[in-house]
Amino acid sequence: MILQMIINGLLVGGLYASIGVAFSLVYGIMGIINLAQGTQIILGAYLTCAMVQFFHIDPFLTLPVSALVLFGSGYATQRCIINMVGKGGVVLTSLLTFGLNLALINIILLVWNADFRGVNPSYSGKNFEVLGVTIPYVRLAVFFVAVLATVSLHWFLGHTQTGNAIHASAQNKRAAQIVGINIRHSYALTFAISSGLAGGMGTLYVILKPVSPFSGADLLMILFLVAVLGGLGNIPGALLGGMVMGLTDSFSVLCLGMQYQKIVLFLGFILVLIFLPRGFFGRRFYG
Amino acid sequence: MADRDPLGRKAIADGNWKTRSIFAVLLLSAFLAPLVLRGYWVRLLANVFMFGILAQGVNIIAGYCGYLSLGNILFFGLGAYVTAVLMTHFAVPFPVAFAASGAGAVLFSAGIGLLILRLKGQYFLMATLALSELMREIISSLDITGGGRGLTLPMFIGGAAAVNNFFYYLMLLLMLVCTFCIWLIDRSYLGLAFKAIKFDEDAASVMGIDPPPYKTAAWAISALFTGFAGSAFAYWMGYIDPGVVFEITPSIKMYLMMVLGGAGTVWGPVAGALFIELVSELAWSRFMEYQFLIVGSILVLTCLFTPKGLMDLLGKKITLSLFTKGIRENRI
Repeated sequence: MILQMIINGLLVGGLYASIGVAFSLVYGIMGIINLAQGTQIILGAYLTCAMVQFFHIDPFLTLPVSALVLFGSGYATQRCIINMVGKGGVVLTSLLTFGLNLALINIILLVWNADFRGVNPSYSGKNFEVLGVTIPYVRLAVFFVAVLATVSLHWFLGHTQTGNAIHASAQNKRAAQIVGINIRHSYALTFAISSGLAGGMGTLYVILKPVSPFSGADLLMILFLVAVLGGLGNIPGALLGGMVMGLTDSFSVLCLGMQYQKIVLFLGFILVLIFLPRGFFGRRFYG
Repeated sequence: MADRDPLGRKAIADGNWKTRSIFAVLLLSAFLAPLVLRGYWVRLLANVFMFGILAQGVNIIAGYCGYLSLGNILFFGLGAYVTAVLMTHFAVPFPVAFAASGAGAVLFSAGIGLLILRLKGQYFLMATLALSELMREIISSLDITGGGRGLTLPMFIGGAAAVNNFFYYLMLLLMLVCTFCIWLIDRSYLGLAFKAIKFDEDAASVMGIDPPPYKTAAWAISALFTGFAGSAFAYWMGYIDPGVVFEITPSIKMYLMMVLGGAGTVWGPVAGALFIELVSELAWSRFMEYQFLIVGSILVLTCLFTPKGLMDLLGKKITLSLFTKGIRENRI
């Protein structure tokens, strides 16, 4: 039973890690708290639901579409809106994303209504057993796709010219501009990557759990916790944070029951902020 | 100093007779309004004043100190539930429950604030969001608060007009007291310390201001008035449940009102509350399904075009470049 819980936690943790990375990236590079991130994930989830409903395709195949739609809208959002108040400090940018979040919730409500939506692929009940532990294929696939996305993002930031440009604009805006980096573009690209990742993770999330337009608030708490545990702006840290988050999730259900799951989550987050505000690694990596 | 705070300090305290008399007329008409207005307008204005209190609450901590307490609605809910629980389960009279609500909000904010206000602003705003969610979850799962079913408070004794008038004057007085406190703070050492923390926290601590106690004080004052507003709201509505007092719209509206009116000014948030509530009642209350979209979009537009608030525009020549100034200054 304990082993089963650990495996469940780790499998969900992969998804949480990826969500946390998306949030952490934007904070690490631009110092912006993206309060709309939770709802962006929900938007990705709804896009998947719509595509599955209309085209009757496998939900995993809709991941690139969700990711691309969110990538594009994320780029436009940063380029046309958030960049305009970029120097205004954390107060102004946070209020801006707070407003964007509310507007985005309303758009989702208008297009789809307030009902819970989910997808149910035909193979969702299938699983295999190893050492007495039941592992559903869906959860395993979600785990691998999420970890793959996170790892390839990390590689992209570290090993490509665009990635280096993004790093450079985080470390020193003016110096980056002097060597020919268009920081408006690289900021917009950062936000687009983060949104795209969020959209793709929305696809994976809705495969595991049904969502409503307001589920973004819970997801926001999860990604806060993951990002802070790993150290804001730190991608490998967020991976570890996601695993811890997943384990907490599955053990709180086991020990206290479903109804206290959220209380444990929020209380845990506040305790982490009080006692471990810099996360496991003690320092920020980007920016 | 003069342009920093156009209406708050100079115009009313040492200002000329013209602004003073406009202010006196406004105040007088606010006190006399229930005598001539119909019940609908009295209720609407009482609601405006309630939002004025909430906006002033976030003004102290966010407008003056620069710490975004995005979950400030938690004190509203806390105040409402302290009053509701005391009045239904312990038959406590309203004034006592009202005082207890304020005290509860202050104790809670000071206790938590000493712990989480050591953090930088971005961590604090995440913490307050989590705290308000936590409070909602705890209230929803306790028996004494009625859980998700909510609580029905004892009725206010009196006719419809008496109810309207009582809550009108209660909200109006609370808002005026709150604004008066901010006016006092604005003129005092405390206000200077708050502004120094907002401007540059490290520099402030070098100058001998120890930020955590000041930030906690700001948050406690904010909590006090927000808790009072919640208490009055609970008694006014007669029924509360977690969905009503922790609604998502008010928690964003109070920030919208503060920024639109002018963060860190004495009267700005009140003006913002008046503007937003009246416009929302007259213009978009018929489009309920677009409400989030409208409130969210106005908040975004305000951050873009009038980040210093409408109060900042007073007495200036209105030109297009006045509205693009924020973008020119803040654009990356």
